Amino acid sequence: METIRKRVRRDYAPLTVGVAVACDSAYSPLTQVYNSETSEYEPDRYASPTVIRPVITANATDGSWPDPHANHALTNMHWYANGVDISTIDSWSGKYQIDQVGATRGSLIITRNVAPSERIALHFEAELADNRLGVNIPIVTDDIILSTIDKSSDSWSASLSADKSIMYNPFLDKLHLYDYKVAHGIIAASSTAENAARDGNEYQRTIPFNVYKGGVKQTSGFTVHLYRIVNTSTLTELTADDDEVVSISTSAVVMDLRLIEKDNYMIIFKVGQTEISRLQFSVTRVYQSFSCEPTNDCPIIYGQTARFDEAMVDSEGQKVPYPASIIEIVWKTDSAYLTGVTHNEGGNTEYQLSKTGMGQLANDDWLDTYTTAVQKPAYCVAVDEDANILTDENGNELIFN
Amino acid sequence: MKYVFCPIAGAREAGISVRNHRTADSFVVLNEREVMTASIPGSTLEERADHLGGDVYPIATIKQLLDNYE
Repeated sequence: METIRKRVRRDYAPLTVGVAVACDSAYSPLTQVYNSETSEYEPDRYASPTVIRPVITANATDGSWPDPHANHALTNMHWYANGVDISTIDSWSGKYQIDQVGATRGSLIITRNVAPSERIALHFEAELADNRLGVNIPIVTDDIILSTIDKSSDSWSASLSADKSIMYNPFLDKLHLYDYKVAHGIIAASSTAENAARDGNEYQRTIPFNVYKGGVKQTSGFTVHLYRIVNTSTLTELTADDDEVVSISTSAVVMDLRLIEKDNYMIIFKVGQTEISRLQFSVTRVYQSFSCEPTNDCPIIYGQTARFDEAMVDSEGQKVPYPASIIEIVWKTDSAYLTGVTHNEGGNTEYQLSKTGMGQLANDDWLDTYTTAVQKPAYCVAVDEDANILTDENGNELIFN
Repeated sequence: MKYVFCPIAGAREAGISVRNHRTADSFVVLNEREVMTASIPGSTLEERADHLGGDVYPIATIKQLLDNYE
């Protein structure tokens, strides 16, 4: 007599499934470029197919699913373009394949070019066959976009090759210091020294830009117009004749930052009278903290009639060379009988003791020397009372601050 | 963009996987971008194509070559 049978099954942990989608063809990416001048796609997918792979991973907590790469177990695979099964779309007919083999099973191999006017959202749907439990797990990926950039004749763009927020710090400007030394006969003019002073912090600042037409860098065929932004609705066009402009070319504008306190500028690129692109940048003069003190600690000896002193300026832990070039240093003294006596402006001073009110006796023979020091503002062009610009003997405009 | 039509063996020797590429008989089509970014001797596309044992063609010629093999 047969006993009652009892059938039991293996119990498996359910699968945890991960779904993603990736482009496997770096040489033929999701975005093509269409060159309207040659009527060619770059790359042409007929020659260089784009490959999109669904990345399906699966894991079971009990270790019963040995290989996390689960593409091989996909069934009932379909790719959709903008929500429609591509096997039903005429424009896709004969222009794709779905990989059926191994770890790349389900990959879409595309030989179809996408017109610049098209934007195709592709997604993949399939079922993951879990033969352990005898179930099919539905798989749906996110969209991945196919598109094409039109490299057409009217597609212009421009980009700055420098920071659009330009900070000018006179304390760091070695070119300004070089000029000061040459002007004061401290060193002889030298193109080597001048070039060495151009370390990126100099007042004569090149602001480079690139202009592209259909993705190809252009050096001609357009004009460059520089404007100072007066307010949100007013632009003032500048030329190389304006004070703060050194030059304007098709690759860069060069500005004299010494003459700018804080301003915003716009570069507008035109073909004929038609604007094709614009860029904005700003220039700000940096005011850096510093300390200034007299350095002469020597006592005044009997019979001495004049006294010399020199200012020492420190900023950011560094001694500032020739500080009078960027700081307005005014020398003053206080004595028992006269306070706030102003002597001169500059990095050093030499004044007559008789003007200080300093006494001769123990209770009045003291003298305090000090300075008032402020960083100089932006330079201005020097003009006379009739607004005529002052120049040197070579016709170079004079500036001061 | 130009294309290189070269023997599959030449591409493989240069370390280029020909999987998912268009092939015709024992030849494969590589595009200019992948040839110029691969570690292949030569500074120009033509020099690199020569190293692969192939030739450089425009897309129109490549299409004809592929169509002729099908």
